[in-house]
Amino acid sequence: MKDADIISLYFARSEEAISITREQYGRLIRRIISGILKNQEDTEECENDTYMNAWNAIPPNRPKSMKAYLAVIARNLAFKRYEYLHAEKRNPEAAVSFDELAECLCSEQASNSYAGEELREAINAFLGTLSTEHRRIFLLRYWQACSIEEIMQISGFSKSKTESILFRTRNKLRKFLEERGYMA
Amino acid sequence: MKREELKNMLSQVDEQYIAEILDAEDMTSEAAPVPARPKRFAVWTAAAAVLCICTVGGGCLWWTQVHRQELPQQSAESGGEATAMQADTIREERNGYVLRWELEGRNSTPDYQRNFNGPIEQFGICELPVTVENTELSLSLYHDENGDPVEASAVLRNQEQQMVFNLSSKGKLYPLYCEGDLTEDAACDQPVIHIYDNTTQRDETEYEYELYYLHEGTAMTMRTYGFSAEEAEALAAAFLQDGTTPAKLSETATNRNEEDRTEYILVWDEGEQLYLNIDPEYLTYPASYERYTTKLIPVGGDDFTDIYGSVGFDENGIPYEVLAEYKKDGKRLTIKVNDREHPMKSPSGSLYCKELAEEHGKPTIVAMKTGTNSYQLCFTQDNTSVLLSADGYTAEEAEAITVELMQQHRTAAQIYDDEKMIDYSQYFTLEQPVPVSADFTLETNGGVHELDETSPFFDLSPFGPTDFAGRFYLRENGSTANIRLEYRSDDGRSVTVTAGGTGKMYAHGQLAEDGGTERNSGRIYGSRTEDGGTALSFRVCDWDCEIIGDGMTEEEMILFYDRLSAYLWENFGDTVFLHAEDCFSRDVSEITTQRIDLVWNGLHQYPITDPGIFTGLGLQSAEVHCTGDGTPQHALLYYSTGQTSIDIFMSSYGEMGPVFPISGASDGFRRNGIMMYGFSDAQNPDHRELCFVTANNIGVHLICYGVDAEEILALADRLIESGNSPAQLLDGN
Repeated sequence: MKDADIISLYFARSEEAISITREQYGRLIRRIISGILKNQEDTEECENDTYMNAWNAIPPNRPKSMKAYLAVIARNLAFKRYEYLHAEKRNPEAAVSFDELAECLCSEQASNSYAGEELREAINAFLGTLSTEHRRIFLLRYWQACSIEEIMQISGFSKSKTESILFRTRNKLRKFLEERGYMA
Repeated sequence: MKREELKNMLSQVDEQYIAEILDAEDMTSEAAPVPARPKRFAVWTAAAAVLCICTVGGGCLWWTQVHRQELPQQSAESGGEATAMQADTIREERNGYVLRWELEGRNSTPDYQRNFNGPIEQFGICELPVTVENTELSLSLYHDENGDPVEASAVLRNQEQQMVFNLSSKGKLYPLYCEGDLTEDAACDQPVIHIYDNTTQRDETEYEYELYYLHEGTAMTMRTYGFSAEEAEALAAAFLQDGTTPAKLSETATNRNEEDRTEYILVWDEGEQLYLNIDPEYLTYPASYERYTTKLIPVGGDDFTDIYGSVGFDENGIPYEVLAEYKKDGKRLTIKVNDREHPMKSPSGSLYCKELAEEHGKPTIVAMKTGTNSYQLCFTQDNTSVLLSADGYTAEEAEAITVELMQQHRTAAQIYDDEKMIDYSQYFTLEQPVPVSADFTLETNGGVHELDETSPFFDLSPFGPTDFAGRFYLRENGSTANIRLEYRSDDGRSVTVTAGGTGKMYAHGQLAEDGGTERNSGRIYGSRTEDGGTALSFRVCDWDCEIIGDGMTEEEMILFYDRLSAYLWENFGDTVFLHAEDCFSRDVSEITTQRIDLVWNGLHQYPITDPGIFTGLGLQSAEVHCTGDGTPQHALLYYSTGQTSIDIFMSSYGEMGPVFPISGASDGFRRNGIMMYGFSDAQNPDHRELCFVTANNIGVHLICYGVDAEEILALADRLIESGNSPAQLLDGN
């Protein structure tokens, strides 16, 4: 079923929307969540929350791409759940991927705080400067918390090349943010 | 930018970009399996990297001819002709653009591997054409079933540059996937070096090249990072001078290594008991630990993914022990360095490393095989004992690592000093002074327990014994709620530590949600007090802690933090301040179907009188079930006060609470060193169950109605403390 039809079901408040969403995008959602949480029970719970959030958000929202829309919800819920569950015992990949980015970008010297819209524009402007290939690898690692091995499988790149691209992209991001005054 | 902002930023990526990565992935599978890692990590990892990069690399290709050496006609024996034929075939298949080149022979895997590490000169390559500072070369040689060296892998690296060099003789090549037309090169009468530019962005230093070379049946691949194209080419030429082959490298390295081997003696202890005895004193528990997640001891040549380390301090704060553990892909290295003079010996007690060393006038390594691909090696060097456990390594590799440790010749204190170059000021970056006038309020109602010099926290003090004061604040049931510790020195300096699980410990407010600095796997928040002192807030396990220092340096504060956090981790872990309700988070309905009625397993039932486990509760019935030969197996006790009831099942089997397997359950929690599993009934809030196996292997299952979660845990504590088992209950009656 096309996205527009699924969204129509949501607008008509038909519960069939949920089952079709599950059927069509369930694997994608589970894949994203399990990549972050690494736990089946938590994954199932988060998956259900994703459907619930989508149900509550559509309408009024009318997403352009259900796939991306659901992926964003799933990812954000998974990270929220992950932080709740694993204050100390972290999923190594999720922690590692975020830590390596934070290591490069977080500065305690910075005293300014930035509004959500400003950050949104900054990150998307930066992503726009990247080649499609590098953008995909960057987001697979830091948005979706994929392991290096998983990215290697998806991209077909070697480990060293994948790590090299990530390293350079991190530095680019840092430079980008510095030039725009986001970092001290 | 703060960490929290970074998180927010990543949450707001445009959907168009998200769609890109979703399109890039194959979402038809639930989760992509991690590709298996080849066993021979050095060569095959490099080969796999070559394979991947060549397959998908988008870099441009150019080639240059560099040598004057003549390339003789390739013979079928050498593999060259087969190469050309195969190349032709594949070229046709791919229209002459992408060439997939895979030579025969890779199935004849080498029999064993030897590793050498040392200066470049050791390998007969005395002068490199480019400057590579602070560099050592690691060389691995692989031999065929006849013991002939057929493959070599070398890694040259410093912090910014790296070169991986693979060499294969006898016509053997790692599977190479190359771009470009190689058939013309094969027909060329000169050796050719192909350079593939994998550089994705031309920064000042970040060049990445891959070179490939075939000459007289010897194939070479080389990958460089951080070198320019000219440097990479010159490096390749230098390594190929005089027609370098694995055999020639082996000859040079082995000769050199023979010289090295005269510097120590390797003794294999083939005792039946496969462990190494260490003097008991050696295992003396350090007064405190600092934990590390960095590679304290750089050995092994592997890029380990799972690293754990700690430094042990004695009661005077002097580092004397380093423990480092590295894991990756089934391999594990554990290294213990101890500066105290406790020489290690074999099970028979006869092979003291130190004695042997004195006898022979040389350092001695005692080695022992502890399993398939598992070895333990140890040596004593200037009163520093080193014990190495290597799992997933060959004997040669384990020996090479041990020799590397010996060559490092560092004491535990030196290792600690090397790691200690920390800018402590980074932990104290909050600009606003924190008022210290407000005192904290401890929310307890169970009284106060004063600490004395025998308290376990005493050892944390950097001051004298008489300058310590501390107290526990207790809950009604007597368990610890909070602690407050005060240390004062004669010169007026002081440190006050508060720690508790209530989350309301702070004079200075709650723990910040963002900011702080990561240390010891947690975050700490440093601030300066308005009267010039320093304060650190942090959370360890479920403890919310704060240290306020008056007259203390930042370094001292961090040291104090390390000791306190290490102490809390070591002694309390996740056992204290676990909220009781959280222990009963799983729904009991999940387990009811798994119940097995064990009551009737016993052939005999013996009623018993009140064993006195729970005073104040009315024992309604109690009996012990025995097997036919009279062996007590289970005990059933039932307490009730009308409104509340407790069923206790005890099993001598130990592997279970008597009604369902404990070992298969997840999401348990640890309490006083025992794993427990708590369940509650979503339909009936009064119904809770708790299962655990005691240290004496007694399985216990409590089924409670109308009893608070906290009270159930306290009852369990008392039950464990009583040490009762079905047998004891029967004997007692």
